[in-house]
Amino acid sequence: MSIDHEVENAINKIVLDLKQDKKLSRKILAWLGDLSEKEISSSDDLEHLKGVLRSACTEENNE
Amino acid sequence: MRLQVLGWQSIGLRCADSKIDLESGGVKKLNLIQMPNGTGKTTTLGLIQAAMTGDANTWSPKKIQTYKSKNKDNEQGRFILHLQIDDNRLSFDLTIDFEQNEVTYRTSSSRIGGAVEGWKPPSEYRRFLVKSFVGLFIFDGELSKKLLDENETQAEKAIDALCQLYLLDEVKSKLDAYWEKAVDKADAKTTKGLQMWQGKLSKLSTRKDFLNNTKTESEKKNITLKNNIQELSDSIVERLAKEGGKLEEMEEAKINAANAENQVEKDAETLMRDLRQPHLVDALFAENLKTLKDSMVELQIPRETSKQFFVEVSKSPSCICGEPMNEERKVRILERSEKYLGSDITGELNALKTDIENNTSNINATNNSVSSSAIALQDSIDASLQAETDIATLQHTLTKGMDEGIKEDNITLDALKLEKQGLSDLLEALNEDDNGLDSVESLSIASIKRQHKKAKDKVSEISDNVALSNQIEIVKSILSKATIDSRSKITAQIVDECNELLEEIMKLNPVTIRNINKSLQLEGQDGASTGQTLAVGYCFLSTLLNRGENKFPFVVDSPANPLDDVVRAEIATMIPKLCDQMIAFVIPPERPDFIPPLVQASDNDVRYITTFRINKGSQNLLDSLPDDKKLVEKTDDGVLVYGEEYFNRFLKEKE
Repeated sequence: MSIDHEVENAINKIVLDLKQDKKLSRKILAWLGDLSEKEISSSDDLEHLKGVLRSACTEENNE
Repeated sequence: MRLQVLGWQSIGLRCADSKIDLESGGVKKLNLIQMPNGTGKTTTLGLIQAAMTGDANTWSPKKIQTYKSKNKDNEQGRFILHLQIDDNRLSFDLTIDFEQNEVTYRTSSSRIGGAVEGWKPPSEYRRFLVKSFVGLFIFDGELSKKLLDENETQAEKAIDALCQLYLLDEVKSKLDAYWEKAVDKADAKTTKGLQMWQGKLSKLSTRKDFLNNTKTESEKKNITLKNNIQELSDSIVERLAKEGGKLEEMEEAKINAANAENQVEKDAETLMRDLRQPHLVDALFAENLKTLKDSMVELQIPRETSKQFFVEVSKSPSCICGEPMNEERKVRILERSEKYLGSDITGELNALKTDIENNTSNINATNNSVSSSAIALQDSIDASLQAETDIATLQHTLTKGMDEGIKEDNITLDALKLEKQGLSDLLEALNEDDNGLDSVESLSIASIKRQHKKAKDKVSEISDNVALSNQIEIVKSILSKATIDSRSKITAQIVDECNELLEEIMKLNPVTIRNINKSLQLEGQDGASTGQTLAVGYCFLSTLLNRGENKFPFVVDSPANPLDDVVRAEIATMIPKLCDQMIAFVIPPERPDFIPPLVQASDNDVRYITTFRINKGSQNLLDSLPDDKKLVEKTDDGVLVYGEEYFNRFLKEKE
């Protein structure tokens, strides 16, 4: 069962509104997709988490 | 994902023993299971739900006993449920122990390749086999009421479960847990904390630079001052001596002072050398050393116990015990000789004995050595002090009546000396070891360096934390907003779709959903009739269950019982459109207005099953069973009949 398309649309739109990189929405949706479709290991979970955080741009990591 | 119920079997439970087959001849769209009241519909629905969710592990003893057969005194009961999820078969086998009040599961699946103990569906299906989710498609009338109850949140929960909005909260919780773990040991985690440490670091950097510069400057100045003092001092002495005609006397006094100081150094060295020899410090040391040496002589140490002794013995024709020396004995003596003193240690011991002999032969002279060295040192110190005093006296004598220039130079010299002393004190403070205390005002360069490093590390650590916190906040805010926005859109879409369905089926008893805000809110009315409630519930759940590409069965107990005759037909027409597989537990009175339109709407893709319990009152039912025995299955306490003809004939006369 994949994540609802309205959730996908909402995440894509909010990421754009916040002027974040499109990569961030892709990473979040990939994580949600895996959580939705299978039971993922804690190491895969951590990999997703780190990938999402790396893609989130802040003033600090923009400098 | 497509989930279908293929059948179930119950043995020794409150419902009659039976084996329901929904698979033979292909899974049907509509499965009608006719059971008179009291035959165990509620029990069967409860068992289907328990098998699917693994929930029976949490049942209380009281609840377990409600599944015990009233007619049999059996210790155990069993319920087996067969499912098909996509291309995989999955079976759950529950054993209920009424003696131990325990429920145990076995799971078999084509996916896991056999049967295993426990409720263990393949991991990818687990999240759909939870009570909150299964409760949406194994439907009872109570759920409809809850969907419309403003004090309940079932409608919102159903949307969250079906559209998996809870996953967004799950991800937020994971981010929170990651943050807590990352900053577990950090004192400060916030921007405020970062500013505080940045301020401290800035002060310490300034202080460090200041102290280093001060040290460099002070050292330079110290050298200059030392030279100036020396020059001025020499100049004053020289001028004084010239003026007073005592230049030679002054030179001689200076030489005397230098010689006296040298003598002090020599005598101090002599005393220290004497003190390092214990026999010279005290007669008691010397006496005891002599006793040690005499004892060693008496015991013939080291010769008698030396390794060499045993080596020599091994070479003798006979041992010291008188026995002849053979090869075996020789080898053992040489092996064991290793445990005794070797030639190196023997040499040391002999040297010790000789030293003691030489140094303690004249004990009476011992005391005089250290004493005379100490007296000599004291004398030379006195002589040195006297020489300094002589110079000072001579200088004082010469100063009387000296000219103003020398007087002023003397004042300058005192000021320079004072300044030099101040500088020496400052340098001492700057070079002081780190005392481990945190103070930005400290003069110790080592302390400020340590504090500076600590502040720098802290700023770096908190900077990382602040950056991480900001990243987490961004992602969490995206997820929170996405939850609200998507729920709002999904809700609006579901409301529209439901209202279209309701408009179609509730023409005579119209009802419209205004909004879904935790519960379903109806347009222009606070409450709803039983029929309206059920219709709204069916519409809402079917819309929700069919959202996306998922297909779930719809298992309903007495679907038409609470409905008006008119509404029955409309809802019957609607339900088959809403799901892929419908399993309806019906009672005979529901047949007339509900079953024909339901069957028609299902394109006649129907399986008819009638089941009843064997008891005193069921003899006439047993007498009227179909002649075709293939359609009838009998157990100890129940009968199951397949087929439309018997289904429609069942209890007709009674109606």
